Amino acid sequence: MKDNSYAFAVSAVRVRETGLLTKTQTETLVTAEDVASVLRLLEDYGYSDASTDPEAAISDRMSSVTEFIKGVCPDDGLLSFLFVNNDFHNLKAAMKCSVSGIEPDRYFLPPSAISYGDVRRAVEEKRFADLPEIFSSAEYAWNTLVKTMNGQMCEMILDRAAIEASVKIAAETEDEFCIGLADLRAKISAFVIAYRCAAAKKSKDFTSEALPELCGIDKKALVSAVLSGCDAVIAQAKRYGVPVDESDGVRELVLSAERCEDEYIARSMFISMGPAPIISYYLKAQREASRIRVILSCKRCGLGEDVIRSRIGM
Amino acid sequence: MIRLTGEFMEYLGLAIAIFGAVLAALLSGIGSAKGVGMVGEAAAGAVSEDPNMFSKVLVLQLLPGTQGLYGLVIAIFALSQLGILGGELAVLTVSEGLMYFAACMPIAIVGLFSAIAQARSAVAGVGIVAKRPDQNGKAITMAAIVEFYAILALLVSILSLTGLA
Repeated sequence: MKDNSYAFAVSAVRVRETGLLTKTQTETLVTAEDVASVLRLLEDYGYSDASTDPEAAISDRMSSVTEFIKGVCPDDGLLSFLFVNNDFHNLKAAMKCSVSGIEPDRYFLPPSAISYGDVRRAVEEKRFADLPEIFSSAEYAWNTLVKTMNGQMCEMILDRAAIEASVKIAAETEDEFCIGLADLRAKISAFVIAYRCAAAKKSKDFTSEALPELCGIDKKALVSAVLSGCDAVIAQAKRYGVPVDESDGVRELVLSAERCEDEYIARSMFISMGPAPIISYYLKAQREASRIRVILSCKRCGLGEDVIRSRIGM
Repeated sequence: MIRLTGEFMEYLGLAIAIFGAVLAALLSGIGSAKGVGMVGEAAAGAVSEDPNMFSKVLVLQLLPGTQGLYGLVIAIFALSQLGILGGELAVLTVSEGLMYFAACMPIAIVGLFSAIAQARSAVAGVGIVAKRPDQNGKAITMAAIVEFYAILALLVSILSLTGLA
């Protein structure tokens, strides 16, 4: 896909970016007195009716971002890249609900590149061959779930598949920024999985199954690190350039991963063509939504400003 | 056969010169069309979100269009010297024809590439205007600097054609 194809989308994104919360505005939300003040501020910042139903206001904003991206993005491959995690979440939800006999619709996450109606149908009718190629491990995950009734194992297989699919889709876009972002996210996810396995003292077989095959990462060495403990995983992460300062649990690792991703997507500011600004806008909007949710939850629980700042990685 | 070869040789110089003039208009025109189209797409994206930006991005869209005009000026200048636009057809030797061809090349080649380069700069400028509408002067200045090299090529072409007249 030629960079020129994104000229319209990038300019439209640049206008829309001005509607995202600035650091100062986010800080104002953090320092707001109580939940009511946060909601009032959100209304001032364009989240209409936030006081009445904050969750609906946030969801509406994200839906508008998604619809906008779908409308301007000239490449379906990019949409698949942006929504791949939701697609895999929907597959997991469909499988788990099918096994438990629960109605899955409320567990589906929009937006998705693959219609969740199709996912649901394929899972219910066990026609996994009908699913797109990125879901090639669906049958294996389903069989594992049915035979072992181990939801964690099924989830782990699909998480690994999601990471590998994301890298593959990014490679198909042939965009340097997209490929770099997918590699970074995959690398970070691999270390988060490794850390969790080390913390839970998982077996070698489980760890090998859970960790994705990524080029540039020595999987054997990472599995050995998991078996040696969390500190060894952190040392491995540092070796691969993931900036983890403390081994302060998985939350620190995730926050540091988010910071790393934020730094990467900030580079899109200097890219005037291609899909980078679109990816960056979508991820920033997503981060904004999750930060507002965290701020609201923290305010409801009466947590202090410093705690909120650390939770949202500021 | 001998007569045909003689006529061919007689007009070969003129043909080469006309080809040069055509390329001046053609290549710089292609560059401008591509450039204006590129910036137009970007401008439309910004205007679709904020219609008030129309006047600000319009100048940026126009900038890569100038190379096409420069090419046209050189083509008309060369064609009029060759007697294509009126008067008597010039009789040129092959080496004279090649000199006209060479005189048209600066604006043809620089026009093509500078229009595209300027368009890229203008697209980035649309990004600036989209985020900070008050900074459109800076965006225009940055894109306009690329114009300098097209003007230099235009000058070289004009001076060469004047020298040949």
